[in-house]
Amino acid sequence: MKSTACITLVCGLLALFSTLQVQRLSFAQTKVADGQSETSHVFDIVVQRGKRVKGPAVLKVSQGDEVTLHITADTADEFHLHGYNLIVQLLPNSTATMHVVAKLTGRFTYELHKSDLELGALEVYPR
Amino acid sequence: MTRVAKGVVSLLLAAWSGGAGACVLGAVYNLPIPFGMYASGAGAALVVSFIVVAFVLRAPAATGNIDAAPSGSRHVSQLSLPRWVVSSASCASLFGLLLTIVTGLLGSANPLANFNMTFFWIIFWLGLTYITALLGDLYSLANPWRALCGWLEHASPGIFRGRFHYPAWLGYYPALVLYATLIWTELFGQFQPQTLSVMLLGYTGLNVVAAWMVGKDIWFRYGEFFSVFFRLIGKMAPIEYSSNSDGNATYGIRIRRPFVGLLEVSADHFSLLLFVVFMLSSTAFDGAHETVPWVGMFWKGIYPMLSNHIVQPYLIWVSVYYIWQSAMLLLLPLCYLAVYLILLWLARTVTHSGTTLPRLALRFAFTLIPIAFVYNMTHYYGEFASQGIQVLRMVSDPFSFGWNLFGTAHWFTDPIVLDAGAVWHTQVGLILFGHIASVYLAHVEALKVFPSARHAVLSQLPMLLLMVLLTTAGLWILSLPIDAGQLSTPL
Repeated sequence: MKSTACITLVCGLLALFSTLQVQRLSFAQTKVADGQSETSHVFDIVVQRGKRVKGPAVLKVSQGDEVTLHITADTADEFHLHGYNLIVQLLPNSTATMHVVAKLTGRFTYELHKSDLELGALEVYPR
Repeated sequence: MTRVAKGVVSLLLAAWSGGAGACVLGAVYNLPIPFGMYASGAGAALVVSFIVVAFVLRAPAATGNIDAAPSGSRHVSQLSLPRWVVSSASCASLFGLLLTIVTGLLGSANPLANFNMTFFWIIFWLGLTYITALLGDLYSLANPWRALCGWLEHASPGIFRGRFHYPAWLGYYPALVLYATLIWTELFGQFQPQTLSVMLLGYTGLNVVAAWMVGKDIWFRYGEFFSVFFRLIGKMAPIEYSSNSDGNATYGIRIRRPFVGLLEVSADHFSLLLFVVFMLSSTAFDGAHETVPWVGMFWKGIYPMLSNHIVQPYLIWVSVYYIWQSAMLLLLPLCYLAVYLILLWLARTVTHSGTTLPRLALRFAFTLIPIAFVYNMTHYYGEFASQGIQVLRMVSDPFSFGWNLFGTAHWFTDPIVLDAGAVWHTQVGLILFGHIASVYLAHVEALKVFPSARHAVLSQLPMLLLMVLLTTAGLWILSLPIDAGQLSTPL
């Protein structure tokens, strides 16, 4: 039994480590690899009568990219990007801008706080 | 349908739609794993399965030891836990419950800022699950509701002797219903700190009344669902706690091999099998219910079909969407159960076993627990890491009064986000680890159930298929793109 248990444990660890690139086990703020160019993205998001009427639901970028969001809503509200924890105030029918350097990887939803309206998500993929 | 009836239905549906929400604390930053990683993970599951089976089959004598290793046998050591340790843990646990309730009622209305939400959902519900898998069923030592009943019983002896007979057919169904209710409210309830406090107060009252009705021991074995949940998770741990009868120490500690606890006893009621299946399916549902294919099932499949025949405002369809999601939460365990039973039936048929299908279903039920556990961990550990640590900050100011009791009130002001690559690899690794454990346990159990080596080999093929299916499903769900803003753009 002991040997079987050991073998099973070894199998488990092998499977775990074969898929787990240990060198990548670090918290975010990983430096972007040298020689890989960052891209700039500009997205326009327009919200009318509680609906997103312009702009993609999911913004896909790579780590290190620069992202600019132009947000326009027909009511006063607060635009919040989770994870990065950035907030911009929105005035009715006026465009507000948010700049993000996509250092953190993951999926970060953004919403209008006062309307409690989830608009979409910024997905930052590792390079 | 008359106009009045339509109005009533509309109102009911609108009320239902108040439950729009994702994870309670909304701090999940996981990206879908890339397809290549999903495919290699599924392939690895298949290869590893055959390796595990080969080792199990080559060592039938060794595996037999698991069956013949009762408490106190070799490789097992006995320790005891002093009474004061258990009493202190119970006091701390009851204090934690009280603090959770009071902070919810008096503290911040912001779920992310209130101590009670993070403490209950992240530290207790997620953190204790992971600790239980490592250190055993600590909850059984310090269950706050049981401790409360114990104190009430001390003040009024005989109060919890039970007024009514607990029918055998009821089994663990009360626990299952309460568990499903918690998961539903977690996924679809409009959860605020005050709501959680009211629910915990209600649950406290329910436990006291139910223990008074059917007896304390019966209720905390079959009805109090946290007890049932943590007892099942604790079976994976290398440590087991049990009551001593020597009159001095209250609890004994038994050290055993990891996962062996899952083979020591079988499920004793069909409702417990359903409970285990719901552990699997509810986490799978949570992972799947906001993905593009799942959401598309309704908005691109059901919604166009129904809206062509029934004219209703869009908000009504949003309500119908949530009803559909809730129905799927309850239907999914039946799908998992059906697959489980079909493959067990196949194993029974090819081996011509005399053991009945219900009996087989109970005997193999606990072998699903490692997979259920890693489903849970892969889905929630990011949330646990990012939000759980915030409790260190919140404990200094649990009521949001501006206190700084322990000097930690200004810690971790920036969100903690794990690297997506690390999360992906950990998720696949964990799923494979759970798969290996479940495959191993199922095959050891098969060797015990099916007497001849040939029958055991035959029986293991459907079981292997079951485990590979569950693992592949888990990986597939992790790889699905997540939908966003679906309610504003259904088509």
